[in-house]
Amino acid sequence: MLELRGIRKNFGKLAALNDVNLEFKENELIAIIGPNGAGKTTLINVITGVLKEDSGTIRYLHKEINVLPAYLRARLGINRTFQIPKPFSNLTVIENVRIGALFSNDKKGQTMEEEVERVLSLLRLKSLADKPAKELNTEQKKLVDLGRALVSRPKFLFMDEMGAGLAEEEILTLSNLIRGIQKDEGVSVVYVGHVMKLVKQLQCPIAVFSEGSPIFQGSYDEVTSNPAIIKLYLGERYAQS
Amino acid sequence: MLFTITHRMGDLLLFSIVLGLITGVYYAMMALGLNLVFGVMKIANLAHGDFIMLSAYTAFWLYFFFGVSPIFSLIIVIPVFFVLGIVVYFAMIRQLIKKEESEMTSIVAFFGLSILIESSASLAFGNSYRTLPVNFLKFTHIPFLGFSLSTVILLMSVISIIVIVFLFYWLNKTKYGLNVRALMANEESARAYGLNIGMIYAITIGIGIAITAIAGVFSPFLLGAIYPSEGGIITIIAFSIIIIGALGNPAATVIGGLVYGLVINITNIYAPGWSYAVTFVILVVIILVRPNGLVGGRLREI
Amino acid sequence: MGLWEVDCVRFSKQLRTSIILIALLLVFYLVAPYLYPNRSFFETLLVLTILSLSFNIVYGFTGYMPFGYAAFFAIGAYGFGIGIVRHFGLVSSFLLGGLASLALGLIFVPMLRLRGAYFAIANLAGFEGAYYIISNQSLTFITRGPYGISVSSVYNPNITYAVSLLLLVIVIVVTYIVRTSNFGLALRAIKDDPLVASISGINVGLYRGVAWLSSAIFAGLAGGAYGWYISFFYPSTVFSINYSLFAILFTIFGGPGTIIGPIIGTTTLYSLYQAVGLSYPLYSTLAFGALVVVLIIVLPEGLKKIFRKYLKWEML
Repeated sequence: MLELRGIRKNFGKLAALNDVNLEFKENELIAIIGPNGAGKTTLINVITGVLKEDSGTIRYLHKEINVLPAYLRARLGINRTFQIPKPFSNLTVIENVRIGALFSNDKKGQTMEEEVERVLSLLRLKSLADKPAKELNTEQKKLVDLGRALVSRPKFLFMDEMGAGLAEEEILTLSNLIRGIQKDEGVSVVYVGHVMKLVKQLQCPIAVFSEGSPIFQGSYDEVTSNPAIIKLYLGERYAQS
Repeated sequence: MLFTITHRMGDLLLFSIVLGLITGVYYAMMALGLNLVFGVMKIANLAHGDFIMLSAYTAFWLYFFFGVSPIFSLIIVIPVFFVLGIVVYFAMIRQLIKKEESEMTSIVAFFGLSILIESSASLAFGNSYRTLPVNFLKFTHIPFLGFSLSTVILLMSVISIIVIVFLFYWLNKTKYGLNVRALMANEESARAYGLNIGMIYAITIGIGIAITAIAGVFSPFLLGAIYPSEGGIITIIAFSIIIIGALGNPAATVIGGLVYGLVINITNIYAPGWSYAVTFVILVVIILVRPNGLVGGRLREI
Repeated sequence: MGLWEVDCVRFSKQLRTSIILIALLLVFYLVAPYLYPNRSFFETLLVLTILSLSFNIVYGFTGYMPFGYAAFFAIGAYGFGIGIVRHFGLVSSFLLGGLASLALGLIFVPMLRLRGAYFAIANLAGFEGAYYIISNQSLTFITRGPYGISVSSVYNPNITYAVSLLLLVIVIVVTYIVRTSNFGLALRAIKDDPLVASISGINVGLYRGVAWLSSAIFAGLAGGAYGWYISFFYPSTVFSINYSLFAILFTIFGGPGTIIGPIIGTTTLYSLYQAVGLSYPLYSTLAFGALVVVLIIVLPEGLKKIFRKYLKWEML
């Protein structure tokens, strides 16, 4: 279980995270939504150790992990993807995935190479294995980014908005992939974004973020039928449709 | 001689503080061009000191062959080095800034340029030490705080102040200067605004190298004799000054120059022979502790 | 597969060619001095190849460009020299050179927090600082200050040559491990994006530090061997920015991040430097300065790219 208590993070006078209390359970799929600037990406940055919180505690495996640097949190099983995918551009696809496997959290008796192969075929990247990541298109880069995170067999995987700019059927494929990964890999996936079509397809509980803290939790239907949330966080346009 | 003891052992510390400030403005001017270029196009000109050396030689030969006083050699040096700066832009920078890792690549390229200039100079001018006579002014020394102060140093100080004031007038009051500042503050939006970036780059490095050349003409009086390989150490001193201030912030360079002038003059009293070592150790410490410089934080603002 | 384990399968195609090339190189070093009796040339070539390969461990695999790299070389020569002057014995003095360089590397470790221009300038200032401290008159009792150090009591060019050759083999093996192991892969990932590397579980500071310090040690040992060979040197002899220039140019020309690249780069360019130097001694540095400018603009990946493009051979 990953537990956040009283997390605060300010950028100058702006409170990016304002007293966040959240619990993420093992083996679940949850989505976090909210308008731009609600603090969603900051939340991921603080949990993964990219940014240091101003105050509050993060507990994981019954230990406070605030003091741990990012690389140790990764080794304990907390991993992530990026909104703008960040594969290692001069490494090939297979090398990118291999990097993720170097400090794998839980090998389950597989060798590193077997694990890399498995993830490559799962994400249908095998044909691209020897291509440098900088020659890929954005969708492929997103998959490489995901592959690097996934191969480490994390306990918690934070995905930062992967649905931006996708067509209808691509969104369906992606949501199926995410749900499949969550089930088959035994990982908790926290999907963070604001593409509502994708969040709907995930068919999972949703937490709504606003001005640096979660203000509502519920199913997709509950969220989309709550007039206050519709008005405040999804805009007038959604309220009408 | 920068000063001689005239009647009694005056207050040496006070004198060196004042001397530190007087020479500090010259050090500031010496580093100003380097910081202007870095601030605008993120090019770390490792050949900076070599341009100082080249202009010092220009002034020297003008004096040697034609008896031109250093003051008047500026009339030739300024336009020549302005054009030289523009040549460097078209020959190197225009190719470099297109590269993937332009900052790193350009550092290596300018390191090569530095070696190129240095070895050309040593071929053309030989390796002997040259200097300019200090007696081109009517009075060579005036009494000051119980010491005598070289009038050349005062002249350099005055010229440096004029140059600095001119640069800041240009940056703040002219159309081109304002464009340069816009570019320093935010390249993306300057580009979106439709500024002719290439043109601004060319003019900026022209002006940067011209200012550097003015400092070069007077360098024999403060930085020591002219010789082909003097550039390396001058480059590092200039970088020390702009980093002490703030990299990419021309205004902070003035503070960097003054601090450097004080450090050099004061260590000269208390630990002669260690002034360079002390300077470089201070520089490394400042870079590590406050990478944005003493003025830091407001990086890239004027 | 462990961190340090080398991967022979993945690199099998290039491996055979590379082993042949390296074997040829060693034969060349063993035979050549008999064919062309210019011992000084081969010894310097050997030392510079070691220096380029050490420099490559930093630049080629981590992307840091230490312009003051010559400081490691110089400190190594001084460590060796001081050891000899103090009668530490040959082996201890030689190791002292590497140790002195390691110590300087440790002092410079905080610089690795800096990037780009800041790192380059801090490193240059560090180089100058080390020079002004070593050459300082008031430290004459340790370093002999500006008067230089003589190690002529242990002068023996044959042994120096053999030791240098051994050192070359060691640095090739180390580079081979870095190039083909997962440690090297991790270094390349850090070079691309340190942030993503750290959230992938890589201890960025430690890995960079290991590469930096091992590079420093080898540069120091190379400096020691050089000081041993030339037998007497002033501070300015070894604290010469030329050694940075050589290492940078040879590595970039050959192909940074490879084993073969810096070797080919050093062998061809230094031979050229000598050939030009014999007939036009003044023009060789000039030509090298120009070559750096042209090379970095036109061919920043060096021969590596040419090999890939025209020979379809990914340089090992």
